[in-house]
Amino acid sequence: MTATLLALELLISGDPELWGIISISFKVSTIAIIVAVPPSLLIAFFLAYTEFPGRRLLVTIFNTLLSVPAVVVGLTLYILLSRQGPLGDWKLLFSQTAMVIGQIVLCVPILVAMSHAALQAADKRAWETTRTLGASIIRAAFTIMYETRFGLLAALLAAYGRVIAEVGASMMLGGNILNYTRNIPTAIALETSKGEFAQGIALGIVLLLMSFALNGLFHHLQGRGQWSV
Amino acid sequence: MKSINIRFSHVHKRLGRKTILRDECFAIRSGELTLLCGKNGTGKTTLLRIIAGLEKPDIATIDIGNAITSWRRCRKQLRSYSVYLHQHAYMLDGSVKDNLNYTLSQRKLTKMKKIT
Repeated sequence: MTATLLALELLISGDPELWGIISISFKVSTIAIIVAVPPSLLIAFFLAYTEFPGRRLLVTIFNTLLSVPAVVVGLTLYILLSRQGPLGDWKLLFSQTAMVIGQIVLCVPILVAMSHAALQAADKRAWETTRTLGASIIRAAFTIMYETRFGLLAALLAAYGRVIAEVGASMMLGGNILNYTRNIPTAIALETSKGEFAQGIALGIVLLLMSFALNGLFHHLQGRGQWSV
Repeated sequence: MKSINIRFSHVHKRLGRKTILRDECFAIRSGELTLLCGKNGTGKTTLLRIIAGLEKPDIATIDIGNAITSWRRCRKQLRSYSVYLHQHAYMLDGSVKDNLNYTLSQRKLTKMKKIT
């Protein structure tokens, strides 16, 4: 109880260390999502609307990658980015860029698999209607994305939820350096291991509030059946 | 829309093991109304989709505006001359006005001509 009160006090008082961790977390995850969304949507669209050899295999691979643990992604990228690794010259290990790369690798399969499912489930007539009405392939693709926007938004939320809450990759690739690569999940893990629960609880509250706000927004949009923002 | 005569020759289409269209030849002339009728499964929809540039035939020669070409080469032209309506038409999300304006904007009609 005392730890929870202390956590609320930390949040309300605007503790610079705590809010620094929160801002790093949001910055890294938002950049990762922004970078990952366009190629993921493109891949999902190709998988849903084109026919080529190996298409089903690719869909299966992306669905399999959904269950890859964050630590495995972290370990693989750690090996690649470490000094002795093939990408060691880039000197990215223990930086925010490395964390962004790790989070991109984690969220791309979610974005592709869920967007593909949403696009695949779209009425086949929608694509033909846009094309016969004279839309170019690009315009038709954007129209279909608009038609399936709630499914795509769900994919976005799921991906954002995964990357902002993952510990393994951020810990291994970022190194949990205060005011540089310490984000919400790695800070919670560290503070809990030290027995300092207040900051951990405060950060947990932020994560829950963010999740609640995003889901609330999503359900609000879905309920209206159209964009209202 | 520009008036144009379109002649389809040797249209052949298989779907799986079934031959839907076998060496069909027909013409659509400007100013005429053409009625396509036949029993279920005889290829009416497939033919309409080929005419609308939505479905690729296995073989077809098309004479469009006095130029003989393949379906692949003229499918853009076919799309610009035709609109394919599904048996149960699909309406894009939005109002009827939005749907009409979508078509008009795709057909490169000016805003003046758009529904307001």
